[in-house]
Amino acid sequence: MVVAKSFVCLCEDVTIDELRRVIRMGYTDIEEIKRITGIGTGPCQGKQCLHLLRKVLVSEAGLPAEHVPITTLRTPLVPVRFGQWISDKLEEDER
Amino acid sequence: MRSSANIVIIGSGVIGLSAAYALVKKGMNDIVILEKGYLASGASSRNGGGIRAQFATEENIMLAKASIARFRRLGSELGANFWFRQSGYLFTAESREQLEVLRKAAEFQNRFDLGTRMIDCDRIQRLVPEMECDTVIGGSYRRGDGILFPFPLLFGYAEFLRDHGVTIETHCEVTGVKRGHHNAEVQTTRGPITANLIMNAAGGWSARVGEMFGAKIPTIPVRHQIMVSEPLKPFLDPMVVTLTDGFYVSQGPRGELVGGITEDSHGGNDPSVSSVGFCRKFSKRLVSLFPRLSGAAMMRQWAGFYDVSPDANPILDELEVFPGAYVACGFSGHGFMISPAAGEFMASMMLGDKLPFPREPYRISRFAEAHRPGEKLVIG
Repeated sequence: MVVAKSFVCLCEDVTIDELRRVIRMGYTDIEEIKRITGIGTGPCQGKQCLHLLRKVLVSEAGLPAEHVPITTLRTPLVPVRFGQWISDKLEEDER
Repeated sequence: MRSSANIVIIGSGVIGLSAAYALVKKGMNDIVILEKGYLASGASSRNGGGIRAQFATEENIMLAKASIARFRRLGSELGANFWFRQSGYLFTAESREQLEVLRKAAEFQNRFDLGTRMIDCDRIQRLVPEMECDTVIGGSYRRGDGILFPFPLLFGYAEFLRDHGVTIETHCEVTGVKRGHHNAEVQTTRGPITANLIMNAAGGWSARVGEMFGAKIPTIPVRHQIMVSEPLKPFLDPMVVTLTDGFYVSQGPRGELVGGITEDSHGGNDPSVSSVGFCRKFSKRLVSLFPRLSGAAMMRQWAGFYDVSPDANPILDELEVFPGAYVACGFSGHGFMISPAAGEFMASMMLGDKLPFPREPYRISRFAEAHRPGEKLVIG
């Protein structure tokens, strides 16, 4: 069941209601919504919420699904400790 | 899309938005902003939020000082909380030469009453107790510098402008410009629009847009990478900068660290691509300065363009080859922090009002003249 306070992004506490409000304001680009609400910027890096956001954009903004891209994916895919980045092991892998 | 406007601004980054804001404050409202991507999709929504007046040239210091005063009031004017926190910038030196650069810059800055202080290692250690100061021999510090959270400012500007009649067209790319008798026609992917005054505020794309006006703009887009950590307990008050490698790190209002470092040039120049090399270089420096952060995690990383001018000072000018067309670009990595004053400067220039600073140092023609000292304190 979806209620107004249903959380779409558990890391950044973004609710369905908040997404609907932002879309009503005219922000329908996934990158804009990410920047306004913080959705997808927490430790899980959007693995669940960005897919839900795409569905919300399709249903609320009436966008065709193929016109709703995912945000740019970059390294690291999961949070990586600063100490791990500088380990010699990684240096070997890089070669 | 509208077919005409008094003023067309190309680019919805912080420069275009702040110029539009200043124009609205001067009574203008017939303004259309054209943006090829999503709102503020270039460097403005990718920068680290550092705000400082510690610069080495008068051109940047004048704009930065006025901008910091503006940032203090802008939140309540826009009804947007962008978390402006004046907790200082600490520049650290690791050699006598670097210390001398900072000392000269501080002396120069204090001609403008900035209150920059040279501080020794004991004082640095008190400011940043978690930092390992083995390699550091001193630094400069200015309390009035600080950080802010860029997105609420950008979207705050956009909402204010829309409420005041300004149109912002996103996903609308400018493809050419035609000269008319009394105005110009800007061609876009969504049709043409005529305008009396046009401003090129296209950031990393401003040289390319300049060509459409027949103008040679000597700026180059250079990719810079940046990262954010997981949220951590507050431990870092000022922004910390090292001159050696352009490293910077600050702790934002939610506890996250935001920082970058000068990238090795072989990593490419595409801002939609990031490199493991950056993550490693940044992490190495971060952990050497803050050993306890070895166990903290980098959460996300991204990249954007610095629009670099030959002297790392901005270009704020009207195009000689195209009267009525203006350009504000070449901010070289510090456009966000000087945007309120740069926007006001451009608005005054476009409307023929009295300018707050002399116009000569910002002219595009300066590059054809004898060598002028450039900005040395470029970070990132």
